[in-house]
Amino acid sequence: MELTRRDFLKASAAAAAFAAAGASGLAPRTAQAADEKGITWGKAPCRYCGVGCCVLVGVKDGKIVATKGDPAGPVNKGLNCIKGYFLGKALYGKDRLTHPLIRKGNKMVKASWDEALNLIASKYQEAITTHGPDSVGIYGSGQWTVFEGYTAVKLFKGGIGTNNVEPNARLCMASAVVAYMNTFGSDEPMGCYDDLDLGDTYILWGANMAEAHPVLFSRLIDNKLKNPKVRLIDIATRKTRTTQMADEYIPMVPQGDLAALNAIVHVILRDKLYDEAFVKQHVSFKRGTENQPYGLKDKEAPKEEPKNLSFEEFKELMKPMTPEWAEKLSGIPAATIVKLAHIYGDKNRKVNSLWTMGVNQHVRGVWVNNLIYNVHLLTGKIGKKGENPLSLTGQPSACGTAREVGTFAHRLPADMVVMNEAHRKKTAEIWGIDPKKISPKMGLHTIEMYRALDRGELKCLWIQCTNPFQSIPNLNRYRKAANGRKAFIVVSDIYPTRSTEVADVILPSATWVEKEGVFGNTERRTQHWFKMINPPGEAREDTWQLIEFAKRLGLGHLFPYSEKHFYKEMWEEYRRFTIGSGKDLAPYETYHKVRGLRWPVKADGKETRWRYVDFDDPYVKKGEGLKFYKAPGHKANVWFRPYEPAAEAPDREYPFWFCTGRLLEHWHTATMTGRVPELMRAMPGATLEMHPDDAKRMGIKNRDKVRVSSRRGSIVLPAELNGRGKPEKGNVFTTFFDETKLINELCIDAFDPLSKEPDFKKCAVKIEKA
Amino acid sequence: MPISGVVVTCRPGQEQKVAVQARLVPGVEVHGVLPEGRVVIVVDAASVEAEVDIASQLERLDAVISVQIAYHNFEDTP
Repeated sequence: MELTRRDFLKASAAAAAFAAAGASGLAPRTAQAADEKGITWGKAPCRYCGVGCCVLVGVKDGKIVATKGDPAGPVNKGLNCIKGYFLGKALYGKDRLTHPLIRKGNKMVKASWDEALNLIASKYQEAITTHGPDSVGIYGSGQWTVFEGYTAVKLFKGGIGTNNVEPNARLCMASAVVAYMNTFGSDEPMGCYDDLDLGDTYILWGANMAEAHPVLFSRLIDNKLKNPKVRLIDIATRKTRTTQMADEYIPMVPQGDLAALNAIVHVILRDKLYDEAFVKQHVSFKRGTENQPYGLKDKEAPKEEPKNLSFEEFKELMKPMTPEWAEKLSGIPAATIVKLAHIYGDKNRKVNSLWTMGVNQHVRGVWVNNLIYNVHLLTGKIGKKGENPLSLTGQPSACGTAREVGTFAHRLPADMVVMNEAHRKKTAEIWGIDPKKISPKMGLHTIEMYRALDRGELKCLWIQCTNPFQSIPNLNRYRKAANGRKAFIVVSDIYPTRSTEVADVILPSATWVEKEGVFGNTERRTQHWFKMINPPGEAREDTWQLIEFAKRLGLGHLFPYSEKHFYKEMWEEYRRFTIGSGKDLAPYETYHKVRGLRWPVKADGKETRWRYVDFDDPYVKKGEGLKFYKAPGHKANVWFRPYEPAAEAPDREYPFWFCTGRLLEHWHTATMTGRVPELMRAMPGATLEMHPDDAKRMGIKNRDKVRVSSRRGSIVLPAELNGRGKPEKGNVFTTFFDETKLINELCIDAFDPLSKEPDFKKCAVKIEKA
Repeated sequence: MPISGVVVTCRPGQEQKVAVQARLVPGVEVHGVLPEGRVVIVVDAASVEAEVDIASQLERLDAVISVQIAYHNFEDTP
């Protein structure tokens, strides 16, 4: 029987699925011959979340026609989550931006690149000349490639002379960064995804991993199905898909994590569950500044003044934080807290903590991160195979670009900061510029950036690869400022968004495999891909846009890379920052073949799976065991971080806790996944998840329209009582992907005083039948 | 007419039941039922839209833990 092409494709599909399921032997034999005609395959990391799945992209006649989970990819072992269906398709939406547009009154008019770039350069130049370099800025993304982020940092910090460079990553994991820095002296985790396969106890703090990190969750579940000892404990304010697979669900009052974790530490100390020798060798104790403001006033800039503590002093301070005290604040029964402490302290268990936005988007997010490390440092459950704390990230290069390149207002590459003279000097030397060019003054952090725009102090803002006029909190204030034309706004993106609608210039960008790039994922894995297809129309990559702009400001000399070896030369320059820093990257060509490498990359080209340990990390000599070599005195800090309330809590007028988040099918503000019509059908718009008892009390039935209002905004949504997520009583939840419902108008722009990360998870709202 | 190769993971011991239920979903071809809770499926659908609908339907089946995609070809979709 002659097989049709369709039969071949089906055989290929089945073969790939059998192989990924670990049963290659059962694959149909026809698949051997089913090598897809005319398709060229190239590797790339997935475009969506921070997991960094390895993907194979199939191109035919200049178009993506197929994608596969990369069987050689150690992250996802040949499988993608449902968002994998949109990898190719997200590039081919009918409304792709294909040429520059310039605002003429209320209209956006087609323009040439020359016109657009000349206009941008003249506006920036005028502002810099009249108001100084700090009157301009750039707001980028954890979806920027390493090259894009590096270009932006070099241009703004080393060329224009302002540190007004921020990524949207400020909104998602800035709290994790600060805590890595103030605990270990270096950003990013000591462990890696292998811990998901090797551990036996996983405690999730406010993370819906099944929907937000599905491929990692599958790895965890695989481990659980193979090993009956594996326990999964879900501590959250809402039942989710994650809860369905958990061994135990522990409901918690918002902000209760601070109390619960402190009480866990209390029990660990009280019941002597800590590892005395580990603490003596590897830990010092500190107390930070308490009762800091919530950033609700403009220009509020709280400072931390740490004090040293002895272990005995720390124990004294922890004495009042009993499980009974924590029960009142967290809603978690005292006995459960004691049980959790004993799980963390169990020497026969390999315990991992996992968290993401529930902990980070928190007015005391750095503190909660610190408290999780406290638990691991006191029990010595850190720096071991299968036993680590791991902060999960949300964007594909939040780590690789925002954190490692340092596209924050205070950072320079490889853990360096602008406030440090030696760091500025080292940076200037690599960049071949006068160190005085880099300002020692921290730039505007994200919320301050948009406030400065509203105050009329920030005259020009360039937004690339992100959608802040849908995603920042207290949106009304900032949209009003933008619509009032208080600043000159440039937006580079691939589709029209709620941010392009407030722009003065819209620039069409190339995305994903329409350009060459490098992303760095949650587990320190750096992945490279080549350009595979051309971008549509006149769309150009963000790097090109910035360098053409630089040339018009007379700063083209900062980018002396040849056309032929452009990426290699930029990479090798950037790599100089990493060598000897403990975050060493490999030479450019190394990444062409491998499915990423986890840094620090060793002299022999091998990756490092576990940091700070002599069995793997090249910076620790054999026989030294564990060494926090980036921390002062090689000791990690255990911080005293007490309970403090949320910035806004329910009261008589606004009686519900309001929480926002993501769901499986849509990614962030859905500018890519929202292009796919069927997805919009399956999950047509935002809903308000409520507890059925709360709804019943108020006479609200499933799908009834309800008005949800905060002190900042009001919106009508259908009530969802039987959805996949079920908030606890007194809590409501919604998603922020729906561009027709600007949910973030309701959110408070209170932020963590240390990380400046806003709290999207807690404010007060009222609900009325609409 | 896109085609995708999908691995459905379910609670161990439920794979036969899930395979029976999956076969009832139009567009689903069950190619293999593996021990330890895995079902290998080929989805043959009219559009990428329909593929996602099918994957979502599979995900909603009782014993299903996850639906993951190993292969996706959409060369003859407009």
